Amino acid sequence: MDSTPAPPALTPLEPGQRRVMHVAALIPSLLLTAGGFGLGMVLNDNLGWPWWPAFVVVGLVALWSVAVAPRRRWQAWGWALAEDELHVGWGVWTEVHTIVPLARVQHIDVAQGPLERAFGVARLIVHTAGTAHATVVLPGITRETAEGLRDTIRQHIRGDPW
Amino acid sequence: MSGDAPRRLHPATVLTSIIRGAPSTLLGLPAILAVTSDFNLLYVIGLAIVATLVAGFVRYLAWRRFTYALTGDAVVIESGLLSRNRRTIPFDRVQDVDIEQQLLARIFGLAKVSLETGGAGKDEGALDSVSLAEAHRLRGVIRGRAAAAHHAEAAAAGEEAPAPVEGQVLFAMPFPRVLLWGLFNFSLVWLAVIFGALQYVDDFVSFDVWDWLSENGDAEAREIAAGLAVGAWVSLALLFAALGVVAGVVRTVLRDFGFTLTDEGGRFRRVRGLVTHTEAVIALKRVQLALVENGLVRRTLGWSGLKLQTLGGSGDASGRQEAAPFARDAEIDALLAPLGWARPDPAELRQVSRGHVWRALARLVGLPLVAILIGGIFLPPVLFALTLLAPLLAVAMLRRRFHRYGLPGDRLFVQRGVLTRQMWIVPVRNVQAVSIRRSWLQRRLGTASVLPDTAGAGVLSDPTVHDIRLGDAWALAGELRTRR
Repeated sequence: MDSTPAPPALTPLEPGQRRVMHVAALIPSLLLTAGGFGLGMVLNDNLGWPWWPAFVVVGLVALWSVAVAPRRRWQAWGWALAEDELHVGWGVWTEVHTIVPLARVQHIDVAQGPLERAFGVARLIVHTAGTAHATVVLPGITRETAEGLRDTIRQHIRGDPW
Repeated sequence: MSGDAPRRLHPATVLTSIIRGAPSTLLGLPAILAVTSDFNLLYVIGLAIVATLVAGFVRYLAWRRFTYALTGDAVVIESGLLSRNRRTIPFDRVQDVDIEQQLLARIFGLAKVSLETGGAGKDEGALDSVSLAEAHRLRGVIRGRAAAAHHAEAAAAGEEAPAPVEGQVLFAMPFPRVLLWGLFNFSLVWLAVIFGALQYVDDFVSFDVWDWLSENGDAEAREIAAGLAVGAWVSLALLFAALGVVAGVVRTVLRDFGFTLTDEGGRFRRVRGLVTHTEAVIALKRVQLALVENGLVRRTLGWSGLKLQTLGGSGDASGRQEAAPFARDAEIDALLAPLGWARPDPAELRQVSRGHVWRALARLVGLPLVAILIGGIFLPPVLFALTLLAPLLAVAMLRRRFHRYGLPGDRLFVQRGVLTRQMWIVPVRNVQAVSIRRSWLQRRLGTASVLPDTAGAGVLSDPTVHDIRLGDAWALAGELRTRR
């Protein structure tokens, strides 16, 4: 094993995807803040504690999850198209790098939610016949890139994958 | 062979989907009624009409969005109201086209067309619904193009159902062996179920297991009821163990009686079962990997089990099939031979990194240790539980010794397990995707896990290579690529 193939350099996602992630984190973190306020009130009513410590702690967590966490998750993502393989990397705590041989792809989706449409990004979803990684999702690329990737992958799909 | 314009589903689909969705649309009405409490028929009917109209409008929009098209080399399906999806299914991947007509569809002259692509068996390409004539046209066109796409390989492989040959028995378990195998299937789970059931019965007929034991059981059992002797507990444990063995033997005989595996040229046929006779066919072409498994005692006595993981086609069994639950090494080799596979030479396998021990320690010993220490602060006698960690410690230390992997030819071998040992044989061409995973701890240790993904697998265990050095992980991924 001497021709050690180092991982290819991964292309980061579009900046639009980072905004999508921030906005998508908004509602859960607002709910979390409201929950923190509720918790503070409950503690106030039952134990006579001041209402604000629980609110502040939970609120800081919520702030972190909307301002910091999406950015970190976004930075962890990356992708590359080596000649006959699609590489997708993600994960902050557990880093995962998935390699999908293009010849193994069963079918391909290009998807776009309303938020993604607003920020000009799309998702490429690659389906293989596998189990644990039967669906590999690559978010945060432009629609043109996604369609280009799809067409490239299609050219590699030939014959029985098993 | 250029594509034709995108088409929509049959307009009547809107109607059938409204009818099919009616129960769930109208399900909310009783709840609304319960709130308003004054029952006014007109009000209810009005509400029902509004709900149906809204649902119908949504379904109409969904229908408008949903289009399908046959292009030169693929089926393209677009769908989604807010979140839009465009799916491309290349003809090469289409295994079969099914036409299904349910009652409602038949009334409207519709049919559902499903494209089978041999993926994980989800709704991969469903056109629900088109007119029956369109369904037949689609099937004709797609089958034709799929056949054209498959043509080259099919001709080369000389495919299509080999004529059923009168099978030659490859492996069979005579009754004594089934009994012996049953002894290894010692199962307390069944006992728990039986006793649980008895306790449950107790609620109704006031039948108490412990009373029953004390009245009808032997002398020792009576002592338990009196709560007197330690000996009673020992004999009770023995009684439980004996019952566990009996339960295991009974279950095994019921399942594996008359186990016979025959080679029918290109496929194995398995027959087994005492009361329910079951038959399964394993098409060798569809076998994705082999797994040789054995427990500590079985291994020392020279027995192992062989499972074959298959990707089910239409009608064939899918998942992990037991090819030989209890067999000698030579018999397993004989079963692997028709596949052209063999077990590895131990010299061809390498150990994983030292980091594996650390991670095993953290997982097996670390957490219980912390729990016991915290418990010990409050209740010092809890610290005696530390002795219980000794066997876990031993297992963790030994893990690396038995976790080995190798890729000598075009097959990946992965061995794992201290007590129950598993040996995976995975042909490289059956690896669908490869993932390299690094947890927080693994990054500190400089290791990575390599997960080869295969088709038809169970989710419980897979041929993952845990904790090899990062460079080795990339090298392995690279080798898996070049030998594909």
